[in-house]
Amino acid sequence: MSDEPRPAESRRELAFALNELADDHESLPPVPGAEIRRRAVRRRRRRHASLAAVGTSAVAAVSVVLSMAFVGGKEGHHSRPPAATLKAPAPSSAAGSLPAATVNLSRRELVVGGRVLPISAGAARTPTPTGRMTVTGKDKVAMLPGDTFGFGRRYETKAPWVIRLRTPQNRTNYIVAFTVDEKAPGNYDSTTGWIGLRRGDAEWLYRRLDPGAVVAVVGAAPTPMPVPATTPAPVRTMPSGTAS
Amino acid sequence: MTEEEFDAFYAAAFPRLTGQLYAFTGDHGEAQDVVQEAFVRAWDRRREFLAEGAPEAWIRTVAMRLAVSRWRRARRWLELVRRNPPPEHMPGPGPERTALVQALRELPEAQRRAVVLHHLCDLSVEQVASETGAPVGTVKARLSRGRAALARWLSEADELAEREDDRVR
Repeated sequence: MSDEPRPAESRRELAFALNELADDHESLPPVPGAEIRRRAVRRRRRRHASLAAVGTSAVAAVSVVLSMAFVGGKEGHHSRPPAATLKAPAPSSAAGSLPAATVNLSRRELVVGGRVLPISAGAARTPTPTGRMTVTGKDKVAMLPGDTFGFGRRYETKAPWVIRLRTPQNRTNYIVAFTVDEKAPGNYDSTTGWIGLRRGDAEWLYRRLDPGAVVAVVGAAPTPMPVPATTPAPVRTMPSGTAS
Repeated sequence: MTEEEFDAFYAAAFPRLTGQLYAFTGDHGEAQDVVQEAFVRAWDRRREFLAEGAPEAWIRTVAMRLAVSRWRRARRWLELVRRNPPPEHMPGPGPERTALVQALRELPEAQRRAVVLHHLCDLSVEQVASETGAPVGTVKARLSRGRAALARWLSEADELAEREDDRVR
C-alpha cells in the first residue's frame, strides 16, 4: 500500500465518494413488485409449456424436473417419477427407461411396484447420491469394502442381499440388508451413503430387481438445518444438501 | 417469503441496489435493468434465493453477473461490427460524466467490482472473495490497484477542474 500516502483517510474518502455517487443514482422501482412476480411466473409458464411440448404428461413430474434443471444444475438429478414419459436426450444408456424403483430420501422410503419399503440412507455427513442409478449386479452375500460401513478401509464386511448401483457420477453405491440395525429403516439415516433396507424387504427387492433396472433416487435426507418455511410447493423436493 | 414480503423487500432494496449497480456499471438505465432482472429471477427461484440467507447480496451478485455478461456481449458485437480490436474497457453510454464515474470506468471489471463491493457495499475482503470467487490475496491486490488507479485519476480530474472552475468542492 505504499502508493497510498494516507490509506485510512483516502479509503474513507473513497467510500464516501462512492456512497454519494450511489445515493445520487438510486432510483425508485419503475414497476411494482407485483409486476416483477408476474414476469417471473410468466417465464416459468413458458418453460413449462416448452417442456410439455416435448411430451410430458404429469404436471407434478414437470415441476420436479424443472426445479432440478435450474437449481440442481449439472449434478444430474434426473429424478423422474414413474408417471413421466419425458423423451429428453438421454446421456446414459439407462436414462431412457422408466425407473423400476424410486427412492425418496426425504421420506425415507423406496417405492417399487406399489409397495413402500422403509429405508435408511446416508447420514448428514455422508449423503446418499441422487439421480438415476442403474443396477449393475447383485449378490446374495457379498464382501463389501469396510469403509462402506464406516469401519475403515482395512476391514471387509459381509452383507446379505446386496444390489450394486452405478450412480450418474460413475461411482458404485449399494442397496443392502441393514442387518446391523433393523430399527433404522424408516426412522433415521445412519449409513455412509448406501441404502439400507430391513432384511425381509431387501430379500424381496433383490428378487425383483435385475441388472439394467433403473432406480431413481430423489429428494434429500431431512437435515437438522432449518429449511425456509415459505417453500412454495411440496412437490419440488430439491436435494439441496447434495447440490451445494 | 410471501408475495407481500417480497414486494416490501423489492420496494426497499431496489433503490439501494440500483445505486450500487450504477457505481459498478456507470450507466443508470443498465443498472435499473439488471437489478430488475435479478428480482425477476429471485421470485422465479425463491427456494435458491432464500436458502442463501442473504437476499440482498443474492440480488446484487446476480445483477453484477448480468451486467458483466452484457458488457461482454456488447463488446463482442462491437468487435464484429467494427472489425477492429475493441476498446480495453467497454464504457457504458450513460449521460452522467462525473470524474469518479469516469475513473471507475477506466478500471478493469474485476478491480471495479472489488472496489464497489468493499468500499460501497461494506463487504469485508473475505466476503468480497467469496462473492467473486477469487482468493483473498487476489482481492487485496485488486483493491490496492483499483484504489491507486482511482487516486491517480481523481487527482488529475481535480486539478483540471480546479483550473477550470474555482468553486469545485
